[in-house]
Amino acid sequence: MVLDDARYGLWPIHEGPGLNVAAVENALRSLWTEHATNGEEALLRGRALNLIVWMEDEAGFDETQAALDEIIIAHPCRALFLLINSDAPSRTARAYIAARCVRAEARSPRLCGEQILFIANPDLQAELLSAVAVLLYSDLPTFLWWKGASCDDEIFYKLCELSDRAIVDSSLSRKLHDQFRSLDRLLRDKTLDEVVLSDLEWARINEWRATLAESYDTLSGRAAIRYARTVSIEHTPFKGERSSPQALLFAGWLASRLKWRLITPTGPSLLFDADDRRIELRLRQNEAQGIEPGRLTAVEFMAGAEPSLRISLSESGGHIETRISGRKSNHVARCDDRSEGCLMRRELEELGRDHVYEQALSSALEILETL
Amino acid sequence: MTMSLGSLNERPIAVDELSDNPLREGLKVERAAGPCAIIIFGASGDLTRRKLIPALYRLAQRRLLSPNFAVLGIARTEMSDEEFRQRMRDAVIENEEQTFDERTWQSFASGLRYEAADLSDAGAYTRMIASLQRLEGERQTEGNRLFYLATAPELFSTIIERLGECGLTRAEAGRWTRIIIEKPFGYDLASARELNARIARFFGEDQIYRIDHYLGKETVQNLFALRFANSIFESVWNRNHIDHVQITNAETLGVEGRGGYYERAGALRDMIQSHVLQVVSLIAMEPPTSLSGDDVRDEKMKALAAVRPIKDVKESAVRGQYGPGFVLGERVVGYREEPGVDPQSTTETFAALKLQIDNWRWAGVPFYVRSGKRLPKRVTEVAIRFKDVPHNLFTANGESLSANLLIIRIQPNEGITLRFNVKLPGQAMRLRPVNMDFRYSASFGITLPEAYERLLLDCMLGEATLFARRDMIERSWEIVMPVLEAWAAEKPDFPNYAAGTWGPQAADELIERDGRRWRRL
Ligand SMILES: NC(=O)c1ccc[n+]([C@@H]2O[C@H](COP(=O)([O-])OP(=O)(O)OC[C@H]3O[C@@H](n4cnc5c(N)ncnc54)[C@H](OP(=O)(O)O)[C@@H]3O)[C@@H](O)[C@H]2O)c1
Repeated sequence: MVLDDARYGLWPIHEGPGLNVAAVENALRSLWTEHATNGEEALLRGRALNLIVWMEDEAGFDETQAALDEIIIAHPCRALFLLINSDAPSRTARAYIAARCVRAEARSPRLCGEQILFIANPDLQAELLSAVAVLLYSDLPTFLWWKGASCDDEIFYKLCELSDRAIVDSSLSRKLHDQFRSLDRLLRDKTLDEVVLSDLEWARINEWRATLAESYDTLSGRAAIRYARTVSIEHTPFKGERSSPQALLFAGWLASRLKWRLITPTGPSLLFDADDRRIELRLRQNEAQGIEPGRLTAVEFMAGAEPSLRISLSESGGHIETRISGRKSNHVARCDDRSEGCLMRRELEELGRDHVYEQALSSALEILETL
Repeated sequence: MTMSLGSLNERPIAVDELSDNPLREGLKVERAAGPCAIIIFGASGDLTRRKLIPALYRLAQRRLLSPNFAVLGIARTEMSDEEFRQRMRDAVIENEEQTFDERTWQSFASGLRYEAADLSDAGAYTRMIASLQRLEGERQTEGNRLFYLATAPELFSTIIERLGECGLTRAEAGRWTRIIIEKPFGYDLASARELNARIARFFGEDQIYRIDHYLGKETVQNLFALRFANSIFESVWNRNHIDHVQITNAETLGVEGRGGYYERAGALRDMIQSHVLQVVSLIAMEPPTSLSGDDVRDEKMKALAAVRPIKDVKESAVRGQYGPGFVLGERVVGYREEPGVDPQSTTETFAALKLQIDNWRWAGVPFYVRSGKRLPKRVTEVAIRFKDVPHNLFTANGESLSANLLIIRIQPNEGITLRFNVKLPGQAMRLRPVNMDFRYSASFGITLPEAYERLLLDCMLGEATLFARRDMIERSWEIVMPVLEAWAAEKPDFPNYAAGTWGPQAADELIERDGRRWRRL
């Protein structure tokens, strides 16, 4: 990768064998002195957390860089970007640093965090790990944003151990089944220190969960959910898989929250036992154009032939609409900002385990295994 | 109570069961308001357009309102539903220029209705009931009602009585009816008691939400977190370590066209009786057993109950009124020259009190509080001044030590500062006080939510912690009454401070008599 240093405002610190962590540390020390003497305007330097970002693909670099600016508005931090580049000569790396300053509102002072970027050949993984350990601020919450294609990876486990919370993104996974299985295994692995996990695909269905929970707060919505015989979940196609991470996590969430038990499927459908009835779950692909792969597009609850509750994505993709017994409900919810920066901002507000996610993941895996 | 499900031929769901929702578990927002109708009295007024509707819209945007939610606005001005919506839309856009979303607005606005009525006219209520019932049917608000008194306080009693006479104040089983009452709550102790008694005839205390928007502010709530989520502060939070407490509420603004209102209020009623004493109680209270409504309010009430009655008003209270001067580099007129103000007005625009709290924790630790208009800066803060070290090792070097200070900034630049002494680099042992700063904006960067948002949601959820209880209101009037009475009996020599200064000379003397000084802000 040929990085346009000026465009990203990154200072090159090192290029060649190894990582040269000492040079990075020195440069970080002088970074703020430079800023203090050159700056014409007030800067607020914030230090609320450490963020490790693991990337295996330069293609997403721009987006991740933009996400960082958005993150800093809410969580000024030290961000350690680790970008693996197989084209780099063996045992070499490049290192950059930058002060990243953003303004939350036109009149507010600029708030600054710092960024360290290593672009390294994959054979420097062990060195990267030790560099991370040195460069993290002590005693601050540490988050890992894992943008790797597989979570069944030694370095992923090691970075998890350095972090308080790891955020993966199953939309990047090569194979969904492997992805869910390794995450589920990681959560169950008693030999590891407690790992706190989350998934951006889970964050992307938050608004769907919220909308359904709102319906469940009303008499008619609750009845529609409680007495449904058929539930269908629609999503756009995802990498040739039978379902998508969002649809599966949503199905897993429904099953785990409403205490549906999966029974061996007969034919193409998935059957669940609830206390007093049997529920058929259908996962359906929707070929709608212009919507990102794997995104949920509708969820329907049917007691008879007609849906008694349907929540669906509006045509523009900007809102979620609710229909109860065929009638449009009062309620239209705006979809949350789906940029990575916005999703991560919210993820970084959480520190503890998300048991609801963990149970949804485990149910989703169960469903996936019977598909 | 059960409700039938219409076409779905299954076991009916009991309304009581509705409260538990397994789908809400683990959501970032765990509690959103259930179905309800909000009836705003005074819906054409300033508060509704600047605060209430924008706050409700933001709640809708954050998915904290139920889809089955409705607003019925009432005031005398003739307006159609559509005109009301249009006015409210303009108001929301003014507040939310960047985040305004047309479809969210449309969905929210479909629940807004308006009814023109003179609330002093008994017939108005019959018409209102009809409109309300129609709206409730359309929006399926399940009979939950929140009345919001946003008219001038003179109308509060009439509205409450009429609601009571029409049977609108009692909730049926499985439903709730609540009332939010805006400040000012009474004009003095007698009128506050009377208003309380009148409300109590028709509403239970658990239905009454007396709003003090100060308590909804993030930084005020953070006082709780600071005191009770950290072990380092609570252990020194007492007379053994604290010398005194200063609470300052300074505004650069004058009366901004509300001279008529302010003439009847004054700084002591408008700020100290309500907001400042609430802050005193948060600083002085003992740890509650839980964060739930009455546990917190019981402790706050105990702190207020321990405030020593002011006997010698001349020693413990100072009033002031601003004359012409310069604020923020601009020449401004004196209070008596403001529109709507009597040219001979004796209303105070500045008040300072010295309060003593007679309990084990605070005996001998004065709380100095001051609040004023047209002061040099806008700042609201609490400063905890710790005691001097028992023995100064640095006297030989001619060093006088600055005391440790913990400053809690309520607005602007919300945050916390701790001041302590460090050694200046060099051979000699020279000391300097330095500040360790926590700023909300530097650590979280985000804009803090508006107080009304939090308070409206809390009320819809039946969460009363941040609202003032009857006994607290009456107690805070009791605290200021001797001062109000003494001041009423004697004509002041006003104006006694120039706009743009820190109040009258007597305010400095109030604290200097005790060998202390106001912080230079
Ligand atoms: N504005 C604020 O920022 C603020 C802050 C804290 C507390 N408060 C308190 O909130 C309350 C409202 O303040 P505000 O500033 O909104 O006052 P405002 O602008 O004067 O509004 C008063 C409202 O009451 C209505 N009203 C008056 N007489 C009426 C009657 N006989 N029947 C029906 N409606 C009547 C007025 O509408 P019509 O003229 O159309 O009838 C108007 O809608 C006051 O108690 C105030 O102390 C306000």
